[in-house]
Amino acid sequence: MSLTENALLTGNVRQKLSVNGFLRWGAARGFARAIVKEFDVRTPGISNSAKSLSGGNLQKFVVGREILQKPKVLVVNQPTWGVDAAAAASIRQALMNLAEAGATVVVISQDLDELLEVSDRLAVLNEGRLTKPRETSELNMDEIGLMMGGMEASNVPA
Amino acid sequence: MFQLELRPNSSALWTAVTPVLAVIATMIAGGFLFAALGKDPVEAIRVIFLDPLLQPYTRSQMLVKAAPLILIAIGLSMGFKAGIWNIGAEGQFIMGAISGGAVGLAFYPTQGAWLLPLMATAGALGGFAWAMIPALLKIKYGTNEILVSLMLVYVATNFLGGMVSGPLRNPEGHNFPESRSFQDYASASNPELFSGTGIHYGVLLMFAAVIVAYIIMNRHILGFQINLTGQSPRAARFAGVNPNVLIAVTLGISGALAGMAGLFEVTGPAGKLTTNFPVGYGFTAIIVAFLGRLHPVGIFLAGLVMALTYIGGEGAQFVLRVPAAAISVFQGMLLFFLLAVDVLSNYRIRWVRKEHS
Repeated sequence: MSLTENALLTGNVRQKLSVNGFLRWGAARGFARAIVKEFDVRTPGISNSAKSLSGGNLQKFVVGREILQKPKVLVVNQPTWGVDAAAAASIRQALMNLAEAGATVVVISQDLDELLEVSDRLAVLNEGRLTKPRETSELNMDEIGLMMGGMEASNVPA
Repeated sequence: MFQLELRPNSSALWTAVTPVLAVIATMIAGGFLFAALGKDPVEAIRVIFLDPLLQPYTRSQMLVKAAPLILIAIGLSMGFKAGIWNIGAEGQFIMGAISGGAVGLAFYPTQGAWLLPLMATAGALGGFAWAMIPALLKIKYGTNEILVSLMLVYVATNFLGGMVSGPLRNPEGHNFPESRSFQDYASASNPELFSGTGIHYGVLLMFAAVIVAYIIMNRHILGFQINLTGQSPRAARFAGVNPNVLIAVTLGISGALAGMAGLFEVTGPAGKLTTNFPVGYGFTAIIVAFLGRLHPVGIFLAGLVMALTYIGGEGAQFVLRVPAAAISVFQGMLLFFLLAVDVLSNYRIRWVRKEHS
C-alpha cells in the first residue's frame, strides 16, 4: 500500500477525501505530502509503499497522519517508539500543540521522561489497576515510584 | 546458486510483463507437449494462436467466447482482491441461466421488448442468490467459501439436469431433456446484433462491466476497501471496513455477473438449456482473472487470449487431431506458469557465490 493510500486509510472522513464514495486522489496525495513535509518523513515520494519505510519514519508518518487531522480525541500508544531524538521531540511538540488547541490527548508510554514532558495529568497502570490521575506538576519522582509500586500516592503519609 | 530477495516495492514492470512471459512459456511447453504427441509443434502453436485471428468467422467467435469469461472474471476479481475466493462461478452461471431462462419460458409465447431485460434481471438474481449461500454461511458460521461455492457447482449441475427433464422440458421436444429453443422465441433470444462481429447483448454488458469495474476499483471507496482488505484485513477493520459487508458485496457482485453471463449464453450462443450447457466458463474465468492481474483492463485482454485458446484448440482438434484434453492441459499450464513467473514481481533473483567452508 502506498503512502497516499495509507493516508486515505484513516483520513477519508475527516479530511473529506471522498465525495459520494468517489475518491479524491488529488486531495489524498496532498494530505500525504503534507504529512511527509510536516513530520519530516524520509521517503523518495508518496507513491512508495509504506512497508519500504524504516520503522521510525513509518512511526512519524502514522502519528502525523492522525495529528494533522486535528481530532478532538486522540489516544496514542508509544508515539515515539523507535524514532530518533529530533523527530521524537517534534512528535511530542505536535501532541502538545494538539492538546493546546483543545483536543483530549491520551498518551500511553513506557518512557517516563516523555510522559513528564507532555502530560498535564498522569496515571499509572499497575497489575491491571489504573491509579487516580494526578497533576503532573505536583508529582515528584518518589510519588511516581510509589504509584508504580501499586500505592496510591494520595495515601502516602507525608 | 541463486536466491530470491524480497523487493521493497513490487515491480510495476514485472507485474505487466509476467502474463506475457507466462503465455510464451505456455507456448514453448505446449510445443513440447504436441511434439510428444507426434505433432509438429510449430504448426500446432500456429493453429491455436494465429489461425483464429486470420479468419472472419473465428474472429467473431472470439468475442462470443470471451464475453462470458470476462464478465465472470470481472466479478471474481473483486472478491479475489479482497481475499474472498468464489470458486463456484460455474454454479452461479448455471443458476442464472436456469432462473432467467425459466422466466422467459413462463411467458412463452408472449412477445415484447420487455422480456429479455426481465430475464436478464432474473438471471442476475439467480446467480446472486446462489452466491449468497456461501456468503451467508461464511458470515454467520465462518464456513470456508472456497469449499461451499465449489460444492454448489455440482448441486447446480444436478438441478439443471432435473429442470430440463422436468418442469423446463420442451413439451414439443419428443421427451429429450432440453428446454424450448430461445433462438426460436424472438423476444427471449439474444441474437447477434451486428452481422459477422459476434457482438450480442452479453458482449455489450461485458464492455460496460469492464468500465464500471475500472471506476469502482480505482476511483471508489468500495474498491479501496476491497484492496485494503486483501492486503491487510486487520488494518481494514481499523479503518472502519465491515468484513461481513464486503463478503456479501463481492460474492453478490460476482454471482450476479456470472448469472447474467449464463442468461446471455443460454439465450444466445447456446440456444437452449440442456445438460451440456455448462462448458466450464466459470472455472476458466478464474484463470482469466489471474492472467489479467485482477485488473479490469488486464482481464479484458486475458479473456481474449483465453478465448483464442478455446477456438484455436477446437481448430487443433479438427486440423491436427489432437485430443480435446490437450487444450485443457494448455489452459492449466497457462495458470501454472503465470503463478510461477509471478514470483518475479515481488522478488528479485540474485546470484550468490557458494560460500566455501
